Amino acid sequence: MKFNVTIASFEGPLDLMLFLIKEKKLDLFDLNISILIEQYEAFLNQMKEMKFEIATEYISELAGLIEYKSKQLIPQEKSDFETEASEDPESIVARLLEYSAVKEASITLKGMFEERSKHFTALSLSAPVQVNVFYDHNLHDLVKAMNKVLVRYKLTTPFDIKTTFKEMSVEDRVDIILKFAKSKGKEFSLEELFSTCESLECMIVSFLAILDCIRLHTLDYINMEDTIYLKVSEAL
Amino acid sequence: MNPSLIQQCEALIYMSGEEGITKQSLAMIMMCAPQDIEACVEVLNARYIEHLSAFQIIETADSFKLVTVKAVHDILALHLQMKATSSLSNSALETLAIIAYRQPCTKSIIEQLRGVNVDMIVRKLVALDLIQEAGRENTPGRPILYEVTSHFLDVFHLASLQSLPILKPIESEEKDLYGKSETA
Repeated sequence: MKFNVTIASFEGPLDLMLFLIKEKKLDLFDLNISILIEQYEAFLNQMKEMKFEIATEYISELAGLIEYKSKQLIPQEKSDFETEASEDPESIVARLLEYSAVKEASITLKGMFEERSKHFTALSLSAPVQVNVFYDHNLHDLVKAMNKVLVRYKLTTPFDIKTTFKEMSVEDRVDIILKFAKSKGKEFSLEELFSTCESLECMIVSFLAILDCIRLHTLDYINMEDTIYLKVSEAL
Repeated sequence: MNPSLIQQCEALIYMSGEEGITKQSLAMIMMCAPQDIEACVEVLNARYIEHLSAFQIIETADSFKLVTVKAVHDILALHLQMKATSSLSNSALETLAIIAYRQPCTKSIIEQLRGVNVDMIVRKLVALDLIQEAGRENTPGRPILYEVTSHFLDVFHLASLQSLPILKPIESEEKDLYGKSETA
């Protein structure tokens, strides 16, 4: 059988199978597996000829197809002790069906994503919140908050380009932060602290310093409504 | 509709910025029924359109947000020095779609469906805050379960998971499945 397709980029073996099924107008519900295998193999061979690297996933799916075909060829023995096969014979079809539905949905989602990204929102204007809760530890929240600080920084200084060289030590910054914390006396938000930083380097060093303080239990922190609050540890 | 109620509603949504504010919290603060909030938002949106405003109120992830309209996107993107609208790759979209429709689900379910390794893309989606871990499945190996985040609902402009596009029902006629693309 002659085989001629333009090489499109496929998202994976199932994508390729769907393409071949569509191309050859095969019926998914009465799948002629030999034609599919033939086409699939021919495609892989063509890729090989063109010196494309074939991802192992494609070869593993080919093995799955051949297994499925061989199961179809062997007359099925009805046994009373029929154990559940490791793979449902219909699974490749079921997978293809679900995959094609998901693929279609993902195209719709893409459109929705593009529409939404054309709308901008302003950063929220938060009023000071009274905090009086216990301090827990989840480093992930801290990283998230740091990202927020960086985004805020980037948005407030969109046109500022500077090249400077500065050395800052984490130890010095720890001292400054602790002094700042003590002068505050009570909880303060991470944003508040970072507003004293005049550069990105300073923010990064501050972040490391805060991590260090938390490790040494000199600072406690808490996450409230997506804002991180810090305070001098009571143990100190 | 009480004009001061509309005013309050607008102010509260404006203040909430990118985080947005839920209908319930608005109703609680303003001491009115959730239906009143809906009516307020409707009036506001109509007013925005009438006055050719730069804003509109949208509902995502159960929250109302005041956003700029599409018409001003280009000038804002220029001002914020944004490169071409960042987009998600097809593999990211497929992975997201599988998680959104089948959540909570494990990596192996995604891999089975897509037929490719998804370690990297899952890690990337977690980093983008589009999916998150949702405990572990009670099967051998206790694999991590993933679910979509509220940020996911926001970037796809979904009020909730119920408003996801409906998966095409699978019918036993091949033509239905491909009807569209064949005529194309």
